[in-house]
This record gives sequence, C-alpha cells and structure tokens, in this order.
Amino acid sequence: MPTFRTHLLAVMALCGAGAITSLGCGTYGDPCLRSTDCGSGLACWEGKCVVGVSDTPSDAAPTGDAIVSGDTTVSDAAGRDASSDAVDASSDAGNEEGSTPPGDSAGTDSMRDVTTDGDAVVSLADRTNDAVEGSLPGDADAQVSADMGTGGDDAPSGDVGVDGNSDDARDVGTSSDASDAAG
Amino acid sequence: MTRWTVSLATLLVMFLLARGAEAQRLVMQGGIGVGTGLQRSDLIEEKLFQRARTRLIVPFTFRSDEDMGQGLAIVGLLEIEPKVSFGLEARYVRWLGKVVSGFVGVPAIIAPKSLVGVSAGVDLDIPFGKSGMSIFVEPSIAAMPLGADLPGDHVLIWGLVAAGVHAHF
Repeated sequence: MPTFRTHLLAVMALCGAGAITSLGCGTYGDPCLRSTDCGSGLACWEGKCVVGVSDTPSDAAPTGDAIVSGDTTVSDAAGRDASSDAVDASSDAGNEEGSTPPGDSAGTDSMRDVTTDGDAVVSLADRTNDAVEGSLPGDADAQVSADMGTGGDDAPSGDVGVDGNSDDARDVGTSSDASDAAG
Repeated sequence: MTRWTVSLATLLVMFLLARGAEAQRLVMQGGIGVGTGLQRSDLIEEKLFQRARTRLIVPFTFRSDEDMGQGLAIVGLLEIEPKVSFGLEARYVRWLGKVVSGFVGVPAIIAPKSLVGVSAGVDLDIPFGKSGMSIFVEPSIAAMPLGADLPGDHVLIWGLVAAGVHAHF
C-alpha cells in the first residue's frame, strides 16, 4: 500500500513539524487554541487536548475532567440515584418476602408511606413487630398496636386496596403475607 | 403603415450606426500565496504566542477601471498544517499607491468547524516583468471571536504574513 505509506509519512512529517513549533499534533496533552487542533475523541479544554465525549467544548469540559482526573462528579450523581433505587428495591423485596426489614429501612420513604397509610401495615406488623414499631411515628404506633390485636386474619388483602400508593401496598400486603400471618 | 415602416427603419439605422459607449470595466486580479504567523489566545499560559497554521491563500480582487483606488476581494483560505480547514474572506481593499494597498475584511473558516472574525492588513505588490505579474507580501492581523471552533469565549488573535504571486486578468 504505497499510497497509504506516503500518506502516513506525510502526516508524520506534518505532525513532526507541528511538534517542533509547539503546535503539537492534537494528541492528548498537546496545546490547543481551537477545537479542531485536537484529534478525534479529544476536546480542547483550557488550552490542552483532553479526553472528551462531546464535540461541544462546554459539554466536553466536565466530562473530560472527570475521566482524566478521576473525579467522577457526574457519574457520582447517577450512582447515588442508582443506589437509592437499589435500597428501595431491596426494602420492597424484603417486604414481599415477608422477612424482617433491616432496621434502617424503617426510615426510608417507602416505609414511612406504608406506615402512615395505616391498615396496610398490619400484615407487616404481624410479622415484624419490633422492627416496625420501633420505627413508627407516634400515631401510627397506636394504630399498629390496635390493629395487631385483631389478629392475622384481618390483615392482608382487603386492607391493601385502601392505600392510594398501590406499589407500596402491593409490597406489603401480599397474599403470601396474609397466609403467613394467618398461620 | 408608412409611418411604422419609417420608424422601424430609423431605429435600425440608429442601432447599427451607434458606437458602443465606454462603460465601466471590471478589472480583476488573482493570485496564490502561502502564509503563516503567530496566534494568541488567553488559553496560552506558558508562552505569549503559538505558531499559527500554515495556509494557502487564493485572493481575487475586483475593481472598476473608473475607480482603481478601491475594490473588493474574495480570498480563499485553506489551512493545511498541522490541521486542514477551509474558509473564505471578504475584503474591502483600498490602494494607497501603485504598490501598497490596505484592506479590512471578514475572514470565516467554514469547515470543519466555523470561525469568524475581522481582519486588517497591508498588501505590498511588487511588479516584475511586463506580464502584469507581481509578487505580493501581505502582513495582516485578525481577531476571531466567533465560531464553533473556539473552545469557550476565548478570542483568537492571528498575526500573519503571506507571500505569493498576483496576476492581472
């Protein structure tokens, strides 16, 4: 491929000349004053070619910084969201399984929603008395205590529909919970 | 009928006998040159200047023979090293003598990314031979504050020198 070789030599010659005269060849870390001074995949940021995803300098700036310096500011935010989702999901899953939720899960939003909704808590309370009662705010405690007295038969499926938050209700008041409670 | 015939014949005779009036004639000059220089932006922290890209310039100047003291020019810009880009520059040129002319212009890099600014410069046109050819040397300065090729709000300043050959058409 003589043509390709010639082209390659020409590019090398040009880049060499550029490097000698401080223009660089648009590789990582080379100086740049224009976006097109940097090679593909690189963006001009603060006078240097850095790794960037976007072609737009303003967009590329934080992304480039994050990748180069290891400061994962942007992805941290996403990670935090993902982890909070994961916590919600795990607490929901725990309720569905009917197992005792972890102590701190009582403080999550989903748990608080469930307890303030009232009756739906009963099935959970039947199964996790200590954990739930310990985390309930005052009024809810009273209701749970009262409802607990009715026994497991009252708890599950009929009460679930009262809750406006169908997701939480479903998580708590499943039929398996009912059968477990009855048992 | 006779009246129409006489009128047409008179018109024909007038057209055929009339000589072409001397009107404005477009004087065109073209050329090609190569240039480079220094560039400056506040992105540079370590040095004052960097070398600007090497470029080919292809100027075409248009002026009227009735007013040879001023004209308009279109200049093709082709940056070739170390990166390639293409643009145009529109200029107003004013001749300050037979050899020296000054210009102000609006250079615009079009591809691969845009860059727009203003420029001013001087053109030294040194004729040689009798063929209407001349050698030109053209120092200029330009400020480029607009365009997608600028990383942020950093004005790019060019101080350029180009040299090449002009020819009258």
